[in-house]
Amino acid sequence: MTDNEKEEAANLKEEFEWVLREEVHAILHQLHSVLVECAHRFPVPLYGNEGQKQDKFILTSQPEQLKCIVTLTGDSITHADISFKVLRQMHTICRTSINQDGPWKLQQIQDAANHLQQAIGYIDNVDKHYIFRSSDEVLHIIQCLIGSLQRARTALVLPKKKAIDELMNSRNMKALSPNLPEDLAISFYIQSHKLIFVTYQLTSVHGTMRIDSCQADCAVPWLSDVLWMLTAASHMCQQLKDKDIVADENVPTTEYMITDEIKNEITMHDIMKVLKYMKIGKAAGYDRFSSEMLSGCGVIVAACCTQWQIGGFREGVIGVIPSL
Amino acid sequence: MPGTNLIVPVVLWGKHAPTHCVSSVYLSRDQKTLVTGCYDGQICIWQVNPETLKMTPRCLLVGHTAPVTCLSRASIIQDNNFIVSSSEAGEMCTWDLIDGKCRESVKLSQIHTNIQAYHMCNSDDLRLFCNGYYAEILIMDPFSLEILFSLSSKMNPDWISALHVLRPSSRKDDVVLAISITGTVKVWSLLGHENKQSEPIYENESKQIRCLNALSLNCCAYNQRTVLIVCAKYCQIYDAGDFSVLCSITAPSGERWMSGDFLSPDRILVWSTEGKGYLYKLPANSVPDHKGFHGPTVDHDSPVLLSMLAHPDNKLLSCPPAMRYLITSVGGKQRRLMLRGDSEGVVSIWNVDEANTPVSTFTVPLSVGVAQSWFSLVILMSKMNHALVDLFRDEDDAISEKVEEDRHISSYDIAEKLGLDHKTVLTHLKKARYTKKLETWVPQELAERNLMNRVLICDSLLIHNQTEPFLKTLITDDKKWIIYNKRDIIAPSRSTA
Repeated sequence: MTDNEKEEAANLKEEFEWVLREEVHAILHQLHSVLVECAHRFPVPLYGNEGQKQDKFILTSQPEQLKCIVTLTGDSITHADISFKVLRQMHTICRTSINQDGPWKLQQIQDAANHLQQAIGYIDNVDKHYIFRSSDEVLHIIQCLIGSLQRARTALVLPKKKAIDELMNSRNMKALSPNLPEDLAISFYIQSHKLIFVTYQLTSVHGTMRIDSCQADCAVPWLSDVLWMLTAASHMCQQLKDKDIVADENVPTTEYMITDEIKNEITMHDIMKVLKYMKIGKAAGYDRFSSEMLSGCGVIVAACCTQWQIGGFREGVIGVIPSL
Repeated sequence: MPGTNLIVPVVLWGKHAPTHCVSSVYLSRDQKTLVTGCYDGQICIWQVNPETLKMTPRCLLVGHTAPVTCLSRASIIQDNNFIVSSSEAGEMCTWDLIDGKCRESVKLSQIHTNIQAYHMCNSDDLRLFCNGYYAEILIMDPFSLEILFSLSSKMNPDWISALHVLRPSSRKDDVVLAISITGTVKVWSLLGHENKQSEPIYENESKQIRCLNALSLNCCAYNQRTVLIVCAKYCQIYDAGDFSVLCSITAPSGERWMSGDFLSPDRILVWSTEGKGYLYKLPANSVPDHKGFHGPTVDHDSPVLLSMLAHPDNKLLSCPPAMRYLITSVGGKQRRLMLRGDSEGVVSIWNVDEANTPVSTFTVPLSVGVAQSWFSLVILMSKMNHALVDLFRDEDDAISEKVEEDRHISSYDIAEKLGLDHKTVLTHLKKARYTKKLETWVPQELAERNLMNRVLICDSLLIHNQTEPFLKTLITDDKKWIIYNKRDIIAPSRSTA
């Protein structure tokens, strides 16, 4: 290895050490502030935030099939007035309500909050003055972070599907006052930044069970903030992971790259040119034939003529010279 | 899942051992099988010699797509050698340890962080008590992997951080003791007839204590009156009756606790993220049957560090190792072991009993790594390969020799001289690319060099013709050359040179 190459390798090694020493801590600190800000948006007590915010939402569907006024406190619906039209009997409106004693728990919010708290916990576990000894250590922490953030996001974006009878027997349904009749069910869940209210009506048609559903939704402002911040944090983690991997790989691979360049003189350009000509069957250059040979010939002269070039070779086939 | 297509997976291995950053470890009760799960989702089964505790990796089970977080026994029946594994993606599998087949697999929407296999009072076999990233405790069947029933909370429902199932000595029921991530301790009492219809099953009692994000909860098996709860920064002993703190041990600086268990009514073993085990003797106020039990903390009587179980070389680990404490029985003898699987794929076993004496501070473990065993396997295999190749080479060499000696030899002669079948000789010669041309064996395929030479010669002839038109002289000298034309009959014609 020449002096230049040695210097380059040394520079890359220093860069890698800088990434481990300074950059990782700086990015973790940034991540921490983003995630704590995200935690404070949650209406539940999370990471020092005492929040028990209360929000009121109105959910209606067109055309006036269902109407619901909901009070969301923390991660549960503490109060709701629900009314919806029963499909079978056109003029019947079913009314029910949720009150303080039996709130409807939105497990998704609690799950997302817990995953977020776990992610913050991973960063808190790293001491500010800790010196990382290898890129694997950093990668492990980043993997855990990415996992938690992904799970937090998925908890809000993808609601867990429940079978209809599971829903019917669930605690939340049983807490409705008054209890709904056997063939009706309602459900509240979160999907992305919306709170969705669905009614299910079971009817038995010729022996088979048919489920009709009708839904209404409304946007919850703090959810969109939270989702955006989770995405931003995941992106930052991915960037740190890439930096770490690249910096770690750069150090040994540069040595290989430099020695390769000295050995090979065939460039990519040369190879591509040759391949192109070979494919179309054309001669890549002039083929030297004396006029004497050509004029005397009434013969098909087909020859493989090869010409050497420095560092590569081209192959061509001469065309047929018809005799007259 | 029944299907008509059989997909046979093929795995190709190279010279280098696969990385095996251990995320969970399990040793069977008879000390014959060790199982380690890793962060890539693979599970390695090791064969262990029960006497010497020497470990040899036997096979790798591939299937999970996320880190394997839990490994548990599946059956107490002697001949049933099955384990259950669970990953961070919610995949659960039941594996047969003898042939490595996956007997059952399921993907749940709930992700487990801990599974305890427990024999309930009126069931035939074990049941899995699972807790994880969900607000209930799930009880599952280890072979069908279906959720039998679940335990829910009434007070402050939240994720369950740690649980322990036990049978109190004076009672006939099973008691589930659990703590949620916000520090609410809950107790469920199971009578044995619970099923899906009896849901929701709420806790019998609950109490809020100041212990957030507990990592493990263990009730003392010897007297069931004290409980060890391990958190990251400290571990505490509680009185099982009223859940009041009796004593607390802080983690050494730079390390965090991972988990621990009771060794006896007055000794505990706790291990840290650096992969070290610490044996402590509890103060008098934390030991039941002691005069000062449940008394206030006395200044001069604090937990005493008896010994430390660590690796003598103390190498750097890139992530906290997976550790486990268990009691095994081999040949009537009970053994208490601490296992550790680290990020390099090295598994170490300590015999806790030998470290109990206050004299020894570092107990040297028995450790074997995946990479070491892989390397010795590769050497063995390459030796075998060479032996096989040598077997065939002998014949080939003899035939080639004969041809080299005399290029005009016939294949029948070769066959006669070497005592082989004629056909064998021909096959070998074909393989060595010899053909007979004009009664002589020549290597049929022109080597690269030969081709290049021919081309070089043609080229130089053409160039030569430019400098000195020898072709001209050739033709005029002779004045006679034959042209073959499809349309005309062959006739000599004059050259128009």
